[in-house]
Amino acid sequence: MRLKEIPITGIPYDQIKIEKVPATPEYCERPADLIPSANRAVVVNPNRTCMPLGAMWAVLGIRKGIPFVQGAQGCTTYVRYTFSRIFKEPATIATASFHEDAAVFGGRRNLVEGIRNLVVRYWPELIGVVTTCSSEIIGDDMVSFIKMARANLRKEIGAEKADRIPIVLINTPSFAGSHVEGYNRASKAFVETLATKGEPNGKVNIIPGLFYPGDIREIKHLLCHMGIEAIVLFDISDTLDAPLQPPMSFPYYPPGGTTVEEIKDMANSLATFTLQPHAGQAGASYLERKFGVRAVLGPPPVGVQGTDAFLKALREITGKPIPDSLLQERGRLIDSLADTFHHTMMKKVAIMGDPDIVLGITRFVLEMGMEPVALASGTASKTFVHDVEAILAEAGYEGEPPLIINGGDLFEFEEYLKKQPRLDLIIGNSRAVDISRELQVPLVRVGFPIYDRFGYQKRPIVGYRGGEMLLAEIVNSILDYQYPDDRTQQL
Amino acid sequence: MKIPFEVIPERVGQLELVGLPACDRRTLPGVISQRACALYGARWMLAPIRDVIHLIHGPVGCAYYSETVRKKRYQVFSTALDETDIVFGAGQKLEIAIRESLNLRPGSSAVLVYTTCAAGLIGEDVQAICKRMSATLGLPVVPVNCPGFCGVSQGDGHDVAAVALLDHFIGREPVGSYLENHVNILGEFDVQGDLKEIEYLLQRLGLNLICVVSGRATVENMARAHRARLNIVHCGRTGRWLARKMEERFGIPWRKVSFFGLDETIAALQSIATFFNRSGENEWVEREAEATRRRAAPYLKRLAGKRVALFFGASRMSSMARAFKELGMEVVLCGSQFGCREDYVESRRCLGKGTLMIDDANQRELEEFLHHFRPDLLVGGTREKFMAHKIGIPFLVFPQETSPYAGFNGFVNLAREVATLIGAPVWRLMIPANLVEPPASEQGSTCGDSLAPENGFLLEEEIMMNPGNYAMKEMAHKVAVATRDGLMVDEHFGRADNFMIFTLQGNKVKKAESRTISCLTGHCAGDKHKDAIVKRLEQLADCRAVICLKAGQCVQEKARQKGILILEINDTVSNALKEFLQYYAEKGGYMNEGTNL
Repeated sequence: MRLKEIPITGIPYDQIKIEKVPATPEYCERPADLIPSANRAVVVNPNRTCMPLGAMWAVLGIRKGIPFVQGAQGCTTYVRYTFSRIFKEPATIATASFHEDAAVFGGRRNLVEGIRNLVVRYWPELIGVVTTCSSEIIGDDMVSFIKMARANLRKEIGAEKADRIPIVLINTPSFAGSHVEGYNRASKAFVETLATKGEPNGKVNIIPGLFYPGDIREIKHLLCHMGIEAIVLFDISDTLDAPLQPPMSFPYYPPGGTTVEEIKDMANSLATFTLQPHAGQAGASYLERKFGVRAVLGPPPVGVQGTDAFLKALREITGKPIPDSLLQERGRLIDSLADTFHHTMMKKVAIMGDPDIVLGITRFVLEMGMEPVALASGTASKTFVHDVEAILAEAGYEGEPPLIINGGDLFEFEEYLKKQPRLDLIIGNSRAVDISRELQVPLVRVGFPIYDRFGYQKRPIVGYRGGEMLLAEIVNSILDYQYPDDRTQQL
Repeated sequence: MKIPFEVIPERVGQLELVGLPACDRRTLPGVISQRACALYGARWMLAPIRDVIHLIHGPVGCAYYSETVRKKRYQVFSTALDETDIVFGAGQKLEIAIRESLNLRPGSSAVLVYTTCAAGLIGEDVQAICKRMSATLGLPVVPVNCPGFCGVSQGDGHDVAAVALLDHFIGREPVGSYLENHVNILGEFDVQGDLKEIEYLLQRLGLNLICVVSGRATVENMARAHRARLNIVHCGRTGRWLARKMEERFGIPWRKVSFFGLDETIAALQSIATFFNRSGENEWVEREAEATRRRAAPYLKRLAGKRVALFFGASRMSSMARAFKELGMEVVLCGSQFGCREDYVESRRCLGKGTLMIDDANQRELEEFLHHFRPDLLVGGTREKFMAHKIGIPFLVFPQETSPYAGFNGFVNLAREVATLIGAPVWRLMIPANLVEPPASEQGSTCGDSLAPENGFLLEEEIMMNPGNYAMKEMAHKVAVATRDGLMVDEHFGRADNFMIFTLQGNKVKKAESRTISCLTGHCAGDKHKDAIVKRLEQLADCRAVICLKAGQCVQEKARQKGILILEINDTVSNALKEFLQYYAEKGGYMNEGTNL
C-alpha cells in the first residue's frame, strides 16, 4: 500500500515542499557552443579527480602499507574523507604537511623527518611516497630525498630494521591525468621497485584497478573454482572492508592486503591480468617487458561476454578447464537475462564513470538489449572511443549512435541528456545523483565513488554472480520508476 | 597527573591535563593528521553562498573535493590546470574561465576565485586579474587567497574567507538607517536545520534576521548586513573576527553566544533580550526550558556518569562540552584540530582540571587515548568515526548528520541520539560470546600480548602462567575485575555495575562468571555512600581482590577491613591479571594492604 502521508510528522505527501536550489534563478538555454567541454576553458563539476587518490588507493591495498603524501594537509585529508565515506573504514594516510617554508625551500625536511616519525610510531611494512602538484612544481628531487630519509632511518633504528621497510616512490603530479592514471602509475612503481626474478611460481597476477572489495572477493571466488593461485596487487578486499572484531591490534592495522613478498614474486608468474586496463596496464606492460610475464589487458570481467573472456584467458594461460560450478553460475545469469529481457530491451541508458567501468557496463547493457544514448568517461583516454565503437559493432548495435564523451565534465553530460527525447536510466557513480534527480530518471550506482548509499562497495558487479546482482538492480530500478503507483503488478 | 601514553617529543605541550595546550603550531610531518588545508577552510565558510559563481583556480582534484562541504554537494567551476598551464602560466585561462562561467550561469551576482597550491606556486597574480575582470564585467570578482600550504590548518582558510566577505560583500549598500529589531548571525552554517531552531527562538524575541554568515548568505543580504542592530556570533573562530571588524567599521555591537545546550541557550536568549531591553521574556524562556528538561529526562537517566570525548574543528568545543555536562556526562577529552587560545581558555574554565585537552591530535594519539581512557562515546568528524568503531567505541558525528542540535528542541535531539548511540545493541553483539572455541592449552602459553587477534579470544581462553614463576597456593581464589567489555579494565569501583569474576587455581586463570552489583556510589562524602560501599563490597565478599580503574580512599579503607585487596590498574584485563599474579607472588600470598600499581 502506498502511504498517503509521512507517518511521524503527518504531513501529506502532496504538501511536502522540497526546496530545490536552482543553478540560476530561472533555467535558461545555455550557449550551444559552450556545452562541449572541449570548447571551453572552464570545467563545471568534474567527473574525475587527481592522481594522488589513485596512488593512495593502491598503497592501502598493501599489507601494513601506509601512503605518505608529499604535499599540503588537504591533499591527505580530502582523500581520507573520500575513502571513509566510500568504504566506511579508517584510512591511515600520513601527510608531509607542507607549509609556506616547504613551498619556498622545498620538501626535503618534511620527507626526511616525516618518514622517521611515521616509522617510529607505526612500524609499517611498506611506505608509498605519493607526490602532489606542489612537490612536483617545486621540483623536489624525491629519489635523493628518499635516500636521505633511509640514511636517517638507519642511524635512528639500525640498518637492519630500516632496510626491511621498502619505500616506493609514486610520481603523481595532480595537474596531469586523473585518479585512474594515479593507480596505473602506482602499479608500475611497485613492480619496478620490488619485483625480482626467481623460480616460476605457477600463479597469475591480477591488477584489479579501482574495483571495490566485493569485486575482488568475486574474482577470488572465480579463481578458487578454477583452481588457480593468484597474486592480487593492491588487494583492498580485507584492508578496506575489515571486520569489527575486537580485540584489535595496536596501532590499528586492518587485516589482509598484498604482502611485499608477493609483489616480489610477481616477476615469476605466468601472466598479469589487468581488470581495468586503464588502471594497471603500466605495471603489466613493465612485467612483460622486463621479465617476460605475459600481459592480458582487459576487458573488464563485467557481464556475460566480459566474464567469458576473462575465464577463457585464464584457461588458455594455466591450462585448467572451466569447472561446471562456474558454468552453472553462467547459466543462472543467462536465465536471469532471459527472464527479464522484456523489461530491459529498448530502454535508453546513459553511462558515466571511469573509462573501464563505462566500457564494461556498456557491453553488459547491450547484452540486455538496452540502447546507450551517452557514454561519458571522466578520464580522457586514447583508446576509449575506439573501444566503445568496437563494442557497439560487436553487439551489432543499430540504433542511434550514442554520444561519446572522452574526458568531459558532468555539465556536458547533463546538458546533452536534457535534450534527449527519452531517457530511462543512468548508470554511474554517486556524482550523477543530481543529474538523475533533475531529469527524474533512476540511477544505478556502480564504480568510484559511491558515498551516498551503503553496501555497494561490498557487492560485486564482476563475474556471473556480480552480473546477476547488477541485473537485478537495473531491472528493479526500471520497475520502480515505470510502475511506481501500481505495486500490485506481478512480474 | 600524567598523560598515560607516550607523546612525540615535538608534540609535548600540545597535550595537557591541567594547563592549556599550545596551539597554532605547525603539524608534524609524517603523522596521520586530522587537519585540513586553507582551501578546505575557505570552502567550509563560503560554499553556502548561493548566488555567486565558485571558481577553483587549480588542478581538477581541488575542484572535485571542493564540491562537497559538510556532506552537501555544491556546483563548482574550475580552471582544471594541466601541464601546459603550469609551464606557461594560467592567467589567460583564468580570465576566459571567468567569462565562460558567467555565460553558463548568467544572473550570478559575483565570482569567487579560490587559489590553490598549484596556482600559488606558479606565481599567478590572481589579485590583479580579478581586479581587471571586475572592472570590465561590472560585478565583484573576488580573489580568495587560500593555497593549501598557507597557515597551519583550515582555520587560516576561515580567516581568509572572512576577509574576502568583509572587503567585498558586507555593507556594500549605501549607508542607511538601522533596521530596528534586525540582527545578523555570524558563524552559523545551518547544519541539519540548526538555523531554523535558532530563527524560531529569535522570532519569539521579536527579532528578524538580515543575514546569516554563511548558512543563509547571499550577495544581496550581505550588502545590507551593516544595518543590523546586533551581531550574534555563534561560532567564534569564523565569526568573532568579522564581528570585531563590523563593530569598528559600522559600529554594530556583538554578543558571543551559543545555542548548544540548555543553559547556554537560556543565557543566549537572556543576553540578547537584555540588549534589546525586552522584559518579561524570562517567563517563556523558563517555561520552554522546563518543558525541555522534562522531555530530555528519560534519556538523561541513561547517560548519567558516562564518559564522553570531544574532538572536532571549531570553537564550538566549549559550548558542546557544556552541553554534554548538562547531559550528566563526564568530559574526558576536549580537543580540536585548530582551536585558538581563547577556545582552550574557555573550555578549560568550563571543564576544570583533569580533562585531557589536545590540540591537533593525530590519529595515533586518538587511538592511544581511546585505548587508555575507554570513553563511552567519541564525538568528532567522519575521519575519526570508523577508527573509533574499530576499537569498539560508539561515535557521534558533529557537525551532526541527522537532526538539529541547536536550541531547546536540539538539546532533546542531542540527548536522545547520544542515549541511543551508547545503548546500541551492536556494542553488545560485538563480542561473540560463545562462538569461539577455546584454543588448545599448548598454544597460548603466556598471556603476554594476548590481545592480538591471532591468539584467539581472551575470555574463553585459559590464561596459563609460566609454572614455577609464581608461588601460588594450591587453592582457588576469586578475583573481580571491573570491566564493561571484558577487554579493558575500564570502570571506577563506585560506578561499575558489572564485574567479571575470575578464579585462580595454581597458575591458571579462568573466567568464572559475570556478576551484576547493585548500589552505585558517588563521592564518598556522606554516610549514605559509605553504606553503599559496604553493601557493594559485601556482594564481592567471596573475592580476594578487586581490580578496577580507580577506587576512592573510603573504598580502600573499607576493603582493607574486609580483607579484600583493591588494585587500581589501567590496562587490559589480561595484563591486569598478570600484574595481580606477580604482585601476589611477591607478597607471598599475603595481601592485607591496598595498593596502587
